[in-house]
Amino acid sequence: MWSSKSLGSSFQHTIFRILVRLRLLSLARVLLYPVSFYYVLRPSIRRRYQAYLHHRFGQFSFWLEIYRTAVAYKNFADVLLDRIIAGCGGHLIVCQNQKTLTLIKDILSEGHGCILISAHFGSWQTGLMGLEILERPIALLQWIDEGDVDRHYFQSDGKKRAISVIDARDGIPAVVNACNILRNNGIVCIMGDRMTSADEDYVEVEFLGGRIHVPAAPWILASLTRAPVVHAFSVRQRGQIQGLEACCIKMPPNIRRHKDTIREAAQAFISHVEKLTQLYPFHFFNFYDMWETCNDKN
Amino acid sequence: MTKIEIMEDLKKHIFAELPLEGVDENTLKPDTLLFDADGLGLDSLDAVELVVLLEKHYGIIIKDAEASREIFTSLSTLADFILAGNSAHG
Repeated sequence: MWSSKSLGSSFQHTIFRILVRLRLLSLARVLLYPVSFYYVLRPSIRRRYQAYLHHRFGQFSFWLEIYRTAVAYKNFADVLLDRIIAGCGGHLIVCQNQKTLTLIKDILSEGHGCILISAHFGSWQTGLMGLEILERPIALLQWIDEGDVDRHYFQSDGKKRAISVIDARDGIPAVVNACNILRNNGIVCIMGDRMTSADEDYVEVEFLGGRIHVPAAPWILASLTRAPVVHAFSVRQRGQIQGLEACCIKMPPNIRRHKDTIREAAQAFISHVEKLTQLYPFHFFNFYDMWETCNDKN
Repeated sequence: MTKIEIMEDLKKHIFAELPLEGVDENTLKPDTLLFDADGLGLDSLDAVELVVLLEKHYGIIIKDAEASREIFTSLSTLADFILAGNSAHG
């Protein structure tokens, strides 16, 4: 089971924050190379990415595994540094996809809010910056484990922002908060690719030739609140955060008793993620064996 | 409506709209804990259903999320909230 407990210590995060505040961005970027490589050389950490690489590429040599893991870990480190830069009020180039913005605006004009479902792919955190121009309340509904020292950019820059985090551990108040955001025609962002210890309802879907469990809750929430769902992703390319074209799904009402309908929606989402892993194979950031639970069951 | 009538009405809606197949309606007493494993054992998705149910049938919106834990304790606390109207928590 995946945990949000941070791999890096609070101290390591602080070093990068200091470098960013001192505007030593180039030095911070260069420092990412040895830091990423240090984690690649640690077998226990490197193994976390093996399951994905094997599902994505099949069998390959040890050295190719080192190379591919290093590229992915460096990409991930860049994404984390982007988040620190954004959190320190630094300059990041975020190019939102105009078709995606228009789609979300059209959805919000219906007045039921919008549930934005994304995955641990690309620049999923700083990609949210592109939504701030919509001037609607935005909440990231997520499960935060003990020991998670990661902070979102909008939690650390001291500015009053339209984006907030709803900690799913709060239970009923978290649910009420999310419903209120949607009622106020806002956007609730949920990650649809990872199970947490809070997810009691799940569906099994096909991903990269195997089967994984993904949470059913985002789709049920959309059905109950009548909020349309948008699959939205962004990716870091040549130093810029680029929003990708999104698609919209409207869930039928009362799907909770219809697991096949939930599975169809979740499968469409995961198939979208799979297409992205074909285009951007080293921007997929789930560092655990997503297939393990289903393999154990079978 | 009296509090007893509201609780009966709520009970009817809860069993009609939440996936509680196999649960005996008689087990839900006014003070049964809704979200406790020893009570009705509802989960967070049931909480979404309750939020939607309150708005649909009673026009009630819970604006103070922190108060919701107390409001959703039991049928009795839910009925008290409905009787008090939206204004107390709005």
